[in-house]
Amino acid sequence: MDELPILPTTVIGSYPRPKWLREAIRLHKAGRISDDELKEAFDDAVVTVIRDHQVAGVDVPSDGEIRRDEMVEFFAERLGGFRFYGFVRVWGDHYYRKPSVVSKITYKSPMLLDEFNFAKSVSYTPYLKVTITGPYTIAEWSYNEYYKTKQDLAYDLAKALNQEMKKLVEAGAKIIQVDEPAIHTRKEDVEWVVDVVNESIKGINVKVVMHVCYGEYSYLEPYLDKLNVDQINLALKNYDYKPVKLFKKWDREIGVGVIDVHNKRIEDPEEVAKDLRMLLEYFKPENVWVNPDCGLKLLPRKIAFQKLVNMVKGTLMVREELKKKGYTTISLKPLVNR
Amino acid sequence: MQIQTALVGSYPRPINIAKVLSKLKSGKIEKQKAEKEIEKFLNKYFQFAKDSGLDYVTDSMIEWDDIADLTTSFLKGVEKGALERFFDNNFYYRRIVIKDRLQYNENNEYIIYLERARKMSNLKLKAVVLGPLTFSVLSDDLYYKKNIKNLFEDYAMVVNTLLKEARNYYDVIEIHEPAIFSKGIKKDLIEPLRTYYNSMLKDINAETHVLSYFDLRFDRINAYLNLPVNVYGFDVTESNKVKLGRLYRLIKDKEVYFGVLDSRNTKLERISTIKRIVLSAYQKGAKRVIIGNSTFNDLIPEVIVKRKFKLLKRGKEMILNG
Repeated sequence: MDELPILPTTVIGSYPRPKWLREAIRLHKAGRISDDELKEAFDDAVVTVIRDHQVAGVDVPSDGEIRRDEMVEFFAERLGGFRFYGFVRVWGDHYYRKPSVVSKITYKSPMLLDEFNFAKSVSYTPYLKVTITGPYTIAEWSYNEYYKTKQDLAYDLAKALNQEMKKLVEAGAKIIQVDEPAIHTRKEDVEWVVDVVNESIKGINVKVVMHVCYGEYSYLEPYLDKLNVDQINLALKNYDYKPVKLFKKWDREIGVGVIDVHNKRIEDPEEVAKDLRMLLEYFKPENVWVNPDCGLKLLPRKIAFQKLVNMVKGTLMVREELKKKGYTTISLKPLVNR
Repeated sequence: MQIQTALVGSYPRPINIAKVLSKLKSGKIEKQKAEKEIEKFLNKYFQFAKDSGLDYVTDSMIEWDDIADLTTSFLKGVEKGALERFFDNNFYYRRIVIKDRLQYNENNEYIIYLERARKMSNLKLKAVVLGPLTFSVLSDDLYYKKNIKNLFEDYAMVVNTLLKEARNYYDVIEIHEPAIFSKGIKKDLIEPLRTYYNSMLKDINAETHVLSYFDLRFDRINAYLNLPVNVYGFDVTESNKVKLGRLYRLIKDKEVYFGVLDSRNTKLERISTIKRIVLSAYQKGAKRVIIGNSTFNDLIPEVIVKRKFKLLKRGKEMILNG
């Protein structure tokens, strides 16, 4: 049976690209290294990321989403129906290529299969997390030139992403995380967005997690019970855990963000342990997973790594306390029949 | 019939300019070299504005990350805070943290930028400022706390000083007040706004445009139309299109700005729709209609901004030529 230690530690997904990989990408753009050489650099970077996760002691690692420039752009480049006009700014000097939907969304071919298979082949654990951007976030963070409503667009995206998730399950994925950071952007949308997310995970009978971060969590709270996911994970540390009370009634798994990814200060293990003890007053130990607030991509690698090390150390302190109370492992079995 | 066109807010900052600004901030490039690059960009921008047949332009706001960044430049008593979503857009600004009484920062660069723009263009140049209500919404107030009216008053006085100091360098004042139609804004904050607008614009003899965008709510529109300005702006894209019928009835004898180009979608507008909106406004008794983009142009790629303004020019020509 697939089991993990009590309070499993994990990452949200992204991890800083090593400097040498950024250089390889630059050289590839300049035509100075071949596609094969770039692929080799990406593969090497995945090995590096997974090794960082292993050394830090993370129970459920990811491949760092190292091949993805941006979480919407990556999928829009691979699905049918999108077009790119150019870069737009998100803030300051940060840009992304925001895609436009110009025709019906179609699923063309597997998008994550190769990266999952490679990561699996070099992973120290079979319990690898695969992340996929959710249908609403892709819809919300794209321009809609084609569909009459955003809801129609999101449903078609959900159907396409569902095909991808089925392929990942066939390939042996045990934990799939649907990233929906935009889910709470518009209060009026949340009710139908829950149906859209459910559509995207229909028939996916492995552990399904939904990641939500930064925004008005209270918009989501009334619809939590309708979500067919086994786990939600949340950015909490950045908010000093104030939103926790909104999720008190949530009786499935919760991934608690105990590391602030927008702050270079490294939380010490005692701080993590103290925060976890507080969180365990709200949630049952067997339901709690431990993770950073969000992807670590924007931090310097050294800081990202040390944050993970301390997150694990802090978790181990509390895990030992729980073991004395008889809590030892949790099961990876899905909690919801989808 | 008079039909004028305008570019409101910002023009998308090209990546090469972002790199120049970033190098300047980190001291990797000399100021003179950076200014040369920026002037090169501005020459192209003003040429684009001229070629697009625009009547009103801003200085492009190219050196500011966003409107909050611009605003903090001329204020004392504030700091930049955490990143926050700009209304419901996937665009983020740094919160304005008010730590002390608001005062005018006489060493601000905004005036220098306006002066430079004045020298580079003969088009009607607009000075862009935040309205007091939206300023408060984009801020974390640690100083005035419950006394928001003092915050409004102090902010209005600071803006008044800025506008007086910069008076030689602009023709029009463009006041951004999108928060007036935002959800959750209390009515008692909206009703006294007229007083603070009077303070903000006191003794300044210039044409004034107030802009709302994203939302449009009729329960607050009278307070909006009561503000002491010349031109009232409305975003008439997306879901606001269906509100036009009701809006037309309220703009008789008013001068209005209609954001007909959707600055949040790459889809190009139909000229026939633009024409219909303008003609309907005049038929319903609008005194003057200006058209342009709905909000800051940073939200769409530069190539689309160019296409949209080309389309606006054709729309204007078609309206004027029947």
